[in-house]
Amino acid sequence: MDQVAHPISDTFVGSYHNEANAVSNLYASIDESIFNNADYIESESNPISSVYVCRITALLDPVSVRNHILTVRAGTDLGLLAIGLVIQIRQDYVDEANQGTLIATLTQASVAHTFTEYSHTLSAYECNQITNYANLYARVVFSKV
Amino acid sequence: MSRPFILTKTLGTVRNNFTGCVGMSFTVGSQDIIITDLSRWKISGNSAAHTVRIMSGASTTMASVSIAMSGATDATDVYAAIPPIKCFAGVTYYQFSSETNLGDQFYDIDTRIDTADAAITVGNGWYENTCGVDINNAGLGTNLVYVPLNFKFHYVSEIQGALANQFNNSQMTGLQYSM
Repeated sequence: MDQVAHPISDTFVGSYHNEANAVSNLYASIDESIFNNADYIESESNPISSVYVCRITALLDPVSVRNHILTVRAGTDLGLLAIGLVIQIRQDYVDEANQGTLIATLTQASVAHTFTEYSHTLSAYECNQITNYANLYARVVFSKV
Repeated sequence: MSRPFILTKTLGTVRNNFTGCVGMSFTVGSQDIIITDLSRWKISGNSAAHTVRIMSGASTTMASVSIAMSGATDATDVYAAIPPIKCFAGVTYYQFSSETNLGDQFYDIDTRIDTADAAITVGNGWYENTCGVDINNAGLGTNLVYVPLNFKFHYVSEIQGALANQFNNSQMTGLQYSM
């Protein structure tokens, strides 16, 4: 049976805010099953290694390592400055000083101006790094190129 | 090129019997905007400097600038540039000017303003007993404000060049892990 995990809580907000400029419950802007461009999280201007971390839904150990896919939809509000995106899946993240185990990384060198989906299919090795599917986090890092 | 928020004004009654801050609220429409300049209307005889601010709520000043009335042209918006700030679509903001009892005159809340751009909605008059801290609705009708104040803005979608580089934010609208 397919399983899909979405953000369920903010773990580290950093300098991010949501579409209404609020700085709490940001995860609710990126947790839809069908991505919705009307709500989003946003970094500060000209981000330099700007970090946001959220916990994602607890999953059952699928046994299989096939078709584990991390997907995001991202963009920039102006598109006039190149901004790169790195998203790490981490297990047992606590805070920026204790980031737990790095499971996998999605890297996009330059994010498109308009919202665009990016994905990373985890390798068998990356999947086998996961020992606790109930404690996974997405660590988002935007940084101007 | 930035444009003024308010184009038409019907000035009300002058007063100078309040120490604190007075101004207005406004709500950004469907597009984010960048505010670059703030202004205070000059009445003949005004000579002091006034601190004009944009706030997003109580105790949350986003921009502040001192605007000198001395030497400025009477019956005009006297502008001063600010480090540009971004105001978000759908969010209500507040603009205030500091005033002093028996100091410069300003127009009372029977002053009516109308926006140049339907994409931003004029709110109503607001005041602060302690500038930069409390915000209080004067309770009168929409478009009825104090002083009056004004600002210049761009839509985020139309700015470019050096200004744009100050507002290049990254955004993410969804994230999922499927298997």
